Amino acid sequence: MRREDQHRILAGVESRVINAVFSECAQQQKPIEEVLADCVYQQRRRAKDGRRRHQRQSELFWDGVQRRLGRADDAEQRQLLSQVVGNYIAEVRGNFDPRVYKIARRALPPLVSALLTASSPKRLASRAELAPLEDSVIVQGETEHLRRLREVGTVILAPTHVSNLDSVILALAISQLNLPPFIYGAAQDLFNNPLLSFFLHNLGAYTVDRLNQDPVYKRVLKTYAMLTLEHGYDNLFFPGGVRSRSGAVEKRLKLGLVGTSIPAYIHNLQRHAVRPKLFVVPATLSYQLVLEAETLIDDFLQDVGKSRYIITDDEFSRPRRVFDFVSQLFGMDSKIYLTLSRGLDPFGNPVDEDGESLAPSGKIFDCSRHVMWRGVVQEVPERDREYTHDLGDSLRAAYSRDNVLQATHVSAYAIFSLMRASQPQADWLRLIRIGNTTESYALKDVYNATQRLLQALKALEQSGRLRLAPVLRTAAVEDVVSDGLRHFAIYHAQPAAKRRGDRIFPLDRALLFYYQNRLDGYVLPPAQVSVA
Amino acid sequence: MSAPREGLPRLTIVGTGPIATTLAQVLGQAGPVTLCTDRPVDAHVIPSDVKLEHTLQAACLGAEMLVLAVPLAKLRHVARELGQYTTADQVIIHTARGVEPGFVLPHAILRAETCVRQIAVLNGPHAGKDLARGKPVATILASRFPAPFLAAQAWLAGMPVMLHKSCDIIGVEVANAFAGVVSLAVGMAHGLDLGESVRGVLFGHGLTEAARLGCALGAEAETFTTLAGVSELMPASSPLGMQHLSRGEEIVKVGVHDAALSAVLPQLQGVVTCYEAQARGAALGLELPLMTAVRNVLTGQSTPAVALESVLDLGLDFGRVLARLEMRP
Repeated sequence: MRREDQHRILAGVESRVINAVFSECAQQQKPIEEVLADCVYQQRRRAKDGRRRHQRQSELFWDGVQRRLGRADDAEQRQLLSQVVGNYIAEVRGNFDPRVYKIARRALPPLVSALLTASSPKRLASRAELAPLEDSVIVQGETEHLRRLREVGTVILAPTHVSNLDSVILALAISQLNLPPFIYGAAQDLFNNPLLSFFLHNLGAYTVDRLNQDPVYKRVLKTYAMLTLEHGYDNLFFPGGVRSRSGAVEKRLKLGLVGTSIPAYIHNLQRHAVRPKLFVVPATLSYQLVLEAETLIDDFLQDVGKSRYIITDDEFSRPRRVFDFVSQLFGMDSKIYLTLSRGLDPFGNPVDEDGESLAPSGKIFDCSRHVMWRGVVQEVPERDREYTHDLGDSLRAAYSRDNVLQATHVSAYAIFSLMRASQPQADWLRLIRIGNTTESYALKDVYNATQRLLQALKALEQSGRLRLAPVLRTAAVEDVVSDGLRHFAIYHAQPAAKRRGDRIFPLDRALLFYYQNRLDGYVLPPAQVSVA
Repeated sequence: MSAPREGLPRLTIVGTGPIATTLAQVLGQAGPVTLCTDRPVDAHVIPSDVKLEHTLQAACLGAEMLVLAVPLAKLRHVARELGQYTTADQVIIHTARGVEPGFVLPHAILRAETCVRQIAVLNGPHAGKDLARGKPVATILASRFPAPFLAAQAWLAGMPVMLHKSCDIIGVEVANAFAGVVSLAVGMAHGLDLGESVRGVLFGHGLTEAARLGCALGAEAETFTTLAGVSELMPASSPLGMQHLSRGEEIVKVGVHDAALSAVLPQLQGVVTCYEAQARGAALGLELPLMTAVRNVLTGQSTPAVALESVLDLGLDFGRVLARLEMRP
């Protein structure tokens, strides 16, 4: 980010947030004191929920606010509000240092490539030839469209969120596409690691404290994102908010940050910006195995996986686990797919090669009129909320369409559907918790179920409803099941399923459920269990 | 016409039936109205200062608010042509009832064929004659967006119209669609001389099933307990409601296989809704006994007496439906 832009953005955030708070207080006839008291209350609650960096300084700051609030007159309350907003801005703000970026860009790909291709440190030190990154991370879909849209306007990349490795994969993919870096919000707990914090902070990441429920803080966050967009900086937001706990492709989206695209666009139009257009590009990630799958599905099943519960201590926080995961995964020539969907305008309409919005008939139309009345561009929150809702529908449709299914997903679904078929009265939760009377399934039943499933999936792919990993289109069903089982065996504490002789044993039903959830939402045939 | 009110959205009404002409007649007193019609209109019915257009392109040009007073059977065709000319800042209000195959609701047709998002359904106890005579009328306007409501309010200001606002366009359109099926069932009950209490029970079942399917499609449960749901579902004295009632009676009198009746039944929006609702409900795993019963009569699988008896024997569980819906995450 250019230094002059940074100053302007930070100043802009402060003035907009303060004006918005004053305006809201005037409309609701609410005293500023009440807003400040709520800020203090939220921070006290926040302090109980978990450690954060600079905890002590934070406590001192809020102690000071609370102390002064008790005896502050109107002028002092306004000053306090300004300080509170300034404090949040200092917490959130990111930075971008081109020097750090150059180092990261040069050093990171070969380092990650070495890991991804299971190279040993010895091999790395000997500068032996490393397999290129492109072999393991497949960036596919509308890559050229993304490049073109960047030339025409400002882009928001909106990927699905599977694992904490997503940020690394996305950074590598963006670098692979020779695109300039995107600004993105990184969870605050990632900044607890000093080395990671240094790189994140200087590579455009700003901090998102997911435990901070203060409305003023959330307004600062959104305004910061909005202003970076207005200044033409591409952004990356995970509309799912957190990693998918169930393993399914996101259906419930948090559109707060993605929704800043509409007010940012409106402001661009109002000030006659040279490049007013904003685009949202959905992206879908697919892994054969997920590093944190056990923790995530456990969280989901315990019904604690609500947005208030943030997991900070899982497999990602243990470097050895991460190393084992990536080296084993890519030692098997496994692939991670990042599929870029066709870009959208802020209202969810598809756009053509030149970024022009397309009506359902395919005709180009002027999308700026969505926010006009009698030729005047206006912000209308109630209306714009519905447009953001429509954008969410378009994102969901793109995720479903560009979801890449792999052998683990297909095998897991086939096995889990046999479990369902052998105990039709039991719901999925009971099946996972207690299992059923059948402890194993004949290999031929698993092959048959997988075969029928693949036929249905291929038909769905033909009609553009999903994507299959290339190998699933051509491989024999035995190989698909074998590949799925091999992956299950390499990393998780207990394999999701295992073959013994001519039978398949579901060993970790929760993990099976997690991987099969990637097919959730598609209409698929039920399995049939053999009578024998 | 008295001096037009300042700032009224420029209005075009599309349609040729009684709703279109009544709206043109009434609203023409408040401001300049364009009526787009594909056939000659009785000059005595329409005020002389209502501008007449005969092409959708001309009708769309410059309009800020479009009221599509066309039946569902024509809606997609009109929307597709309009879609060539509409702009994203326009407001579309439609009065269509029913669904297309696949249980496609009217607003979804408009979304699929035009770039317009600010779409609303205008409905309510149909009282075109009362409106024309200046008598008080209650009506519902449902839209996710504020602009259609503000535009309608501007036009109806000073008129004896009680405009009720709903944000639940899905719920209101589902209720509208189910009204035809309920009217068919009530018509059959009349034909069987089952008495007035049966009418209430059938209405209750229709309300429950509309709520069940509607909520599965994204509607709000409370829509079906308010004016939007309750009044829409009651067998109405509107032309459309009367048509369904009389067809229901005819089914009992002559049977569904009667040549003349079987030729007209497929065109009834209540018949289409019945088939589509039953199919959609089955796909979603929902029980819709009234829809199933009426469908069985229409397909000849059951007599009206047996079909209605199966429904009337069932307990009404509307409260339980609502309670279950409120517990949804």
